[in-house]
Amino acid sequence: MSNKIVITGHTSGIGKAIYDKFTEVSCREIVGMSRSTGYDIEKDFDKVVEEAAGAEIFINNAYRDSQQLKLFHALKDKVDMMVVMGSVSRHYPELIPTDYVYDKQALAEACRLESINPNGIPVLHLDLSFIENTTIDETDPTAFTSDYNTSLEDIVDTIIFWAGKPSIRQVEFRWKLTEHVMNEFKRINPNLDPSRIKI
Amino acid sequence: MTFYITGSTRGLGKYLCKHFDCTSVNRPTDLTVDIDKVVDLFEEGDIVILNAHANQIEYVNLLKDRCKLVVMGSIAAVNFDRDMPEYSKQKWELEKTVQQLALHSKYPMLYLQLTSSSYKNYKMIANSIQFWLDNPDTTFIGYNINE
Repeated sequence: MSNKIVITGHTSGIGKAIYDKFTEVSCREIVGMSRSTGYDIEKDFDKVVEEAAGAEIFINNAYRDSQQLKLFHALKDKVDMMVVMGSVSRHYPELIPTDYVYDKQALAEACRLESINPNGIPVLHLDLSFIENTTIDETDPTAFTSDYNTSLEDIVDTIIFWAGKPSIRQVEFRWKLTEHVMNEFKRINPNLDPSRIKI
Repeated sequence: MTFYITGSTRGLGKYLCKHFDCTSVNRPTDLTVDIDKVVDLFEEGDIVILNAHANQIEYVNLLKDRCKLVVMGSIAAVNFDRDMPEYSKQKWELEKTVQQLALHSKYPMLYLQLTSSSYKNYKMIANSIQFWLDNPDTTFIGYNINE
């Protein structure tokens, strides 16, 4: 295996924060793969797998439908360690009944199974919450915001912490069900049963 | 701000007690009987490690808006242990309770989903708690079964 760290979706959001921090502090080669640099995880899937193979750490960050899960399976035997960006929303499919949530559920289960595989590689599954400075897709009727956000720095720190202690398999970040978030849920899901949650 | 720990006479609890210079809550205080007395020990903003298994859910409910909590859970919550069905059930309920209460609690909570191997790695658990103290938006840390 080489001394390279590969990250998908490195040009914005948490992917950029990780890429920038690792470039600053790590002596390893940091390889970013994003659509804008010719690495679309759907159209260029084979190229992404081929070039990410052999990485010391593969940071499976970019989300596109089930592509993140496909990348997980394609690379779990070809890299030393993997970080997988999941979502706390997977715990609440009743509140957020979207394909995104079901994709993240499947991803979490794949990570859990890898963690009990005697021959599995160290995988860190991060259940991310709302993240600061995230812009939502205004055209997506299921997208919503929060007024309580995790800092990018906290997430980067967590990955660095894990890299030295790979026996950790999962870290979940806090989200708060504030009045703002509750109103957002009602907006995206008018049939929401309020008895499902308390505020 | 004071650091407290329940169940610190041996093993992991004993190590964490020393590491974080905690005040112990041990017998003769009975965690299942003296609940009000135990809760009254803690002041606003204290840090409490709920290491002893006894009445964890009740303590989480009573302390969620008063103290920062570290809750010792188990992989048995999700990988059902046929030899200890009641224990698995209680840990599953504990995990769900913490997950739900953390949505609203005044103070941060950390739930540690321990495995038999991680349970013996005292230093790593202490490091995890220290990491949470520095990064309190982490609410759950789970460990690998295969070590």
